[in-house]
Amino acid sequence: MNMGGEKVKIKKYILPVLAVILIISIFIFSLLSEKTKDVTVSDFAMGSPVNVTVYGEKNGDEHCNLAIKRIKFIDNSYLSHTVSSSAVYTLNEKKTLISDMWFADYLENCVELSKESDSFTLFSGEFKDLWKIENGGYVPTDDEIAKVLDSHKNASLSIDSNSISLNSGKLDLGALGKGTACDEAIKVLQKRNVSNALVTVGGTVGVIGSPDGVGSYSIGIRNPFGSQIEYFAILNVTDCFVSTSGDYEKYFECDGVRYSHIFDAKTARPVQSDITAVTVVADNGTLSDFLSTVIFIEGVEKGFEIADEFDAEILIVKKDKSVLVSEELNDKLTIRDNSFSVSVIE
Amino acid sequence: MKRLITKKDIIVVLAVLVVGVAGIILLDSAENGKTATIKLDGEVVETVLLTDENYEKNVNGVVICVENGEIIAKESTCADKVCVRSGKISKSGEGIICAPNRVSVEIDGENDDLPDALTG
Repeated sequence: MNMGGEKVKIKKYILPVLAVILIISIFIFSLLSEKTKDVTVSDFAMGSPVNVTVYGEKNGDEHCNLAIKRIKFIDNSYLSHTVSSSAVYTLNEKKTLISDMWFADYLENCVELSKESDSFTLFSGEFKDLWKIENGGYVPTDDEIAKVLDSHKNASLSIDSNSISLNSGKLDLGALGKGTACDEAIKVLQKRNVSNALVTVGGTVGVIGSPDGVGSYSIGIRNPFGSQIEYFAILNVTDCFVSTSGDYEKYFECDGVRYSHIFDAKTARPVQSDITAVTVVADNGTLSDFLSTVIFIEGVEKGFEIADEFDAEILIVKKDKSVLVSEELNDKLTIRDNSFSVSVIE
Repeated sequence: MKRLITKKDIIVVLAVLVVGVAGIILLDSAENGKTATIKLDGEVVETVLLTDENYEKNVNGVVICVENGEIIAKESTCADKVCVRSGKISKSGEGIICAPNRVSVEIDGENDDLPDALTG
């Protein structure tokens, strides 16, 4: 009898005990999986929002924070035109700077790229100041424009192993800086053996690996006619950098004319064209950022030639909502808004 | 006589029921009580319920309001007013960003429909 009672007792407890074991194992499982969850860290740098996401790694926070630290370092030490300790600021103020290996190499690369187009300049600082692009906007007189054009003619850099000098003009690396920041952040992550990550600096995106280990990243292309968060198409990409230049980013309007922040170096005036945005996919961020600006300035025909030369894939949105896309990029493109009409350029 | 159902059994069943019902209520309220997270310099300033119709706050120069279950940057001291032009947002994953004032507002929750990033 006693023995039977024990058995009933044991039977009675089996269910609750099993339930408790189940709950504990779920807890342990979720704790374990939390260690390799996806982590995003957001901040602001280079006058733009910055996001770094690392997928499925232990210490995701640490990876993200170090990548953001690198972006801020690149901004504050080199590229910022507002932080008084930066190399660009110092060059513009004091005209000379003790050479730094990273910066000298980087500037040489920028100068090399800028030779691609007479309409592109690394010295748009004076144009931006004159047109008060960051201060509400102002349409200058022809005389004022002639004056900055004249000053811009002599703008150049002297780079050697000891020093870097600016011979007239005002350096502004805004057309490439965000791409460079993306490059540097991705380099930090790769050095730390992170295989799946996404970095955004403003409108420039850099991706490595994939968000789930197998698929690709979906990058929305902003609708130039909509708000900051609307997108009209999706690009499915991996291991690349994507940049977009548009006349809707920074602009002012005067007498019904839109003046954007993208200047033609030949005229010292904001580019006026039938293009509203250019998206470029390339294998480094400095290049994708540079190409998006140059192609915006040069227009459709020359733009596709330049893209070919650099092995980049491009998408151009014109003001009439027609979209021109290179063949390779079309395979990665999904249009979400059918009011845009797409043509593939071979 | 041995009872089929003891007091302990009832307690266990009740406990499971209570936990289950509480869980469902919690999940449900999370569904209805959509929230937005406001950040300054990437640090969370506040989490706001989109049902909080009286909400209005100036975060580093950006006036953020809740209107009809949506959140909006009503005014801003910045020059470009990109944040104000973003309009009202209410879907998970949507956001408003004021880069000059380093303020961001994002609707919480996962949305598989949204892309991983935006270019432009």
